[in-house]
Amino acid sequence: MADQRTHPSENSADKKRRFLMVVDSDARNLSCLSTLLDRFNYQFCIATSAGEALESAMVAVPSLVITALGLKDMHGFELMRQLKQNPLTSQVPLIALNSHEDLDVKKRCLELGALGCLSRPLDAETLYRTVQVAVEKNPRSCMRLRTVQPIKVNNMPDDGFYGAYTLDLSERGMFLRTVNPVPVHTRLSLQLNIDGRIIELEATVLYGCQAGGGPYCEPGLGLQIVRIAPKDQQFIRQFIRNEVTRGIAPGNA
Amino acid sequence: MAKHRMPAASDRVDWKNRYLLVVDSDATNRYYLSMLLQRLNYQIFTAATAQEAVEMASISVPSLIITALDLKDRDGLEMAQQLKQAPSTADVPFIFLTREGGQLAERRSLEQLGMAVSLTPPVSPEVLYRTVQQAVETTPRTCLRIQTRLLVTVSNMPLNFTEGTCVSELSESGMFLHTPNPAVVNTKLSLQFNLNQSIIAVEAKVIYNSRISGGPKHEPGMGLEFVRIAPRDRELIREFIRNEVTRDITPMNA
Repeated sequence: MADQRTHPSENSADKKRRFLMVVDSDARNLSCLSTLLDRFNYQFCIATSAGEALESAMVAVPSLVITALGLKDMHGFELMRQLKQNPLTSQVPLIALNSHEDLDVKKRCLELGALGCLSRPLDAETLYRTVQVAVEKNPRSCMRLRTVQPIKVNNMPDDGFYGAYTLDLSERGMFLRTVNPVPVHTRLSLQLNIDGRIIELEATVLYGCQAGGGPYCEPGLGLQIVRIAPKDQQFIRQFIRNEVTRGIAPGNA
Repeated sequence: MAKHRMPAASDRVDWKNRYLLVVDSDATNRYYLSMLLQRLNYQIFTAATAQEAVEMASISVPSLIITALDLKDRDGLEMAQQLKQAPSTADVPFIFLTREGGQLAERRSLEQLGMAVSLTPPVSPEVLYRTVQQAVETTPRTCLRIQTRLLVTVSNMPLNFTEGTCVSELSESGMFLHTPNPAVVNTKLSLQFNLNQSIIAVEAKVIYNSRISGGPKHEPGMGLEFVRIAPRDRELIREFIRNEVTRDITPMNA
């Protein structure tokens, strides 16, 4: 059976054609939020006021608008209302950002057509998941990091996987860069080396990509981890979290 | 000198550690420059007014400021002078976007600022890239370079050497070739790859090679410089890259 899932690299040309818009009147918040989006591999444009956001949305329609509620020229509610009313932007998903948890505010955001309302301090993983749901056909639930880590395949002939390494890694799976075509559902026994820590795990092949399938098609295998020690999974999770939030003060994002 | 943070040994992921600030009161220009520079692998913040730009620059010092002169709240030149006087932003280079036939006095003031270059829109991606590279990189590139994945065959090497070799970055003057078996520096390679249904054949020389060491920029492979390429092929590569970086954002349809 053909695998339904599309590897991110296959549509990265399309992905590059879309962008998210971030609206916040606080430059520090804006900087942290857009740095996270950049690390999640999205293109974005920023606006520091509702007026600027409305003007920019007329130049090119974003795939998602993430807006703070306390903007300097207008309340975020009003910005969302205007975006929903304009036929050009009425279909654009909206995510609101509130300075604190408030159920009434959240309710009002949903009434206005927002997908959700996140509150500060913003958790990177929650942001990732919310953005994925808003813009991806197959949204991921765990943060995925582009990182090159050497990997050994224990249960396969060595020459086939010579020089294999991860390109993307999450606590649940990875994209393995290799030219060795292995059928979908093959179970691989792997040894991963992260920061000197050796992690043994088992994974099954979800999809395979051959080089030459277009200017952005990455040859390799999409793998789902099926067996891993909980402490190793926790280690990968923490590693990804640390990398994604590096240099961003906690609670600032 | 602008402060460029060198990646620490513990950095396992190469996040872009500098950003460029684009200041323009025109939303279309802002969009075009911001998207184009992001595709060229820069992190970009934009500001619509001088006030926003000054605020942004005081929170996080950009590696470069690209600014229009006619900002809606103030003159771009005045803003630059203010930032030049602040110790934290005194060394930030500027690129000014000047109107066609800009006045001589304007030019002179720009020159007096030092580390300032002026460009007249519409700015081609090539000129913009070259100017930005010169302003912020220690070894500036002259040709646009994009990330892509094209399958390459190497005709003068054994098959197991070439298996799975693909381009990961491409410019009209060279490429980074992905392979677990990078060849030694100065090796000459004969390469072929397919670009929009045309076969491109080049001869290239290995100028550096790298092995896995963690981080996305450390994929194993080798940097190549083209030593023989037909003018037509060079033109095809240039065209391909220009189309990729400006797709859907060209100022005309933006």
